[in-house]
Amino acid sequence: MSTLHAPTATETDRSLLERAALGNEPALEQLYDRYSAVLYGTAYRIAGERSDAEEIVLDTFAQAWRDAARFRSERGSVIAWLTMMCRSRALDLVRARGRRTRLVNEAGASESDAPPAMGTARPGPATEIEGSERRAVVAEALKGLSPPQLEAIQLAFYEGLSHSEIAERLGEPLGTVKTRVRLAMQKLRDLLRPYYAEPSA
Amino acid sequence: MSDAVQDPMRDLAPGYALGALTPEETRAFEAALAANPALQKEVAEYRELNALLAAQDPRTPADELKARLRERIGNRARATSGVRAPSPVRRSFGPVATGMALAAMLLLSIGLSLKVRVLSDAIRTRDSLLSEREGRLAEREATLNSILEPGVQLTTLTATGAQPVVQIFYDKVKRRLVLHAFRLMPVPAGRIYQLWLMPKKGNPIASQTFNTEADGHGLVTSVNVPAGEEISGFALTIEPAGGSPQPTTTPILYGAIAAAQ
Repeated sequence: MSTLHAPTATETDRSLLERAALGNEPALEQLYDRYSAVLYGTAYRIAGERSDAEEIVLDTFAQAWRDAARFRSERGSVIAWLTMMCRSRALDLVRARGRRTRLVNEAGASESDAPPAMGTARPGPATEIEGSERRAVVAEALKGLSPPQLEAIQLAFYEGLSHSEIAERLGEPLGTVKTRVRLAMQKLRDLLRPYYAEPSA
Repeated sequence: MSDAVQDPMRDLAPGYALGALTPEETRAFEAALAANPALQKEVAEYRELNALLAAQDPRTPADELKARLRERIGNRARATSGVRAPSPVRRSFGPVATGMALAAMLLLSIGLSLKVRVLSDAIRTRDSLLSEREGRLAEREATLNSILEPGVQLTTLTATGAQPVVQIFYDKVKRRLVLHAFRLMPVPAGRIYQLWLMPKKGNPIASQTFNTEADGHGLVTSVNVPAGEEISGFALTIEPAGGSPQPTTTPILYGAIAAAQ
């Protein structure tokens, strides 16, 4: 089974988080090195602004630092936990600021398509190879969705829109959108299950 | 939990993991999640999927962000962030130079004032966001606490064909309940849904009135149950707006409280 971190890494995510829970700052920094690009990319896609995305990433790792002792590996992997916190913060921020209304109104002129002008991701070599392989697999799975399903997933995941906002954006009935999102996620889950990070890793 | 209840919740799992549910749906889902290991596993799977999707578009943040993280968690970066510029050497200036210096100071002062105003606005925005977020968390936590109390019983009111569904989380000790409805279409203007507490003996007791959202979801929290009444079940009717002291229509939903385990 594939994992989300470099196979050459000598220390697992879980072990790093356990050390972070004991106050080891370098351990948290290693997690930052592994996942800051993924989380920053996610936060940037949702929040649409560099400064917001940076704050979200900082908040996420600060929360991981505070709550490391509460992490339960049986509930999932470290990166799934970090991603959940990051997306949750990004969605809260965007919703609170009402930018989502603007995003809906500005369909077709998405700010999130603009590059952050800060260079490209530069993970370690092993991570880069595995990361590109994994991205290819996920891209292939996304191609397996119907165009309406893919659009709904992109709006929900990468732009952080709710079901009702997607329905508004697409001019589709709410029930149709809910079904579309659900079926698309179920299909992706079934296809990509072998590539989940090891929960205990 | 019966299939009639479990399936709608499982249907909500992908949307929950994506953060695409309404606040009411989220609260109801989390209520069901707390008591359903299968649902927890499902959500965990979708979160792993989210992590894979998130990794599709990595972008390297600015280098300084790591230093800011160090500073945030109280690391050594603090030592390098507070370096003060050395004091300027005092010199003698002529009147023109003094005037220019004063003008420069005035401009600097205006610039600093503007900067302070911008920063103050930013702080106010963040404070507002923080308090709003804390308020929502407190509300969610209160609802979760109320339905996770020991002894809270779940009663499901279903109609023929399993549409719609109303769940009642009843805390017999605190005599309080939370109602969660889904697939219950809103009633037209001038009408309202009314919950009835069914005592073991006697007439139905009028309880909360409510309406649902356009998608059929509704959540009513902190409904009190009168002291001294032993409740055996719940019913739902459609009444004139404002509610009725006694039911005026046949219940559209009914559910009996399960015998104590």
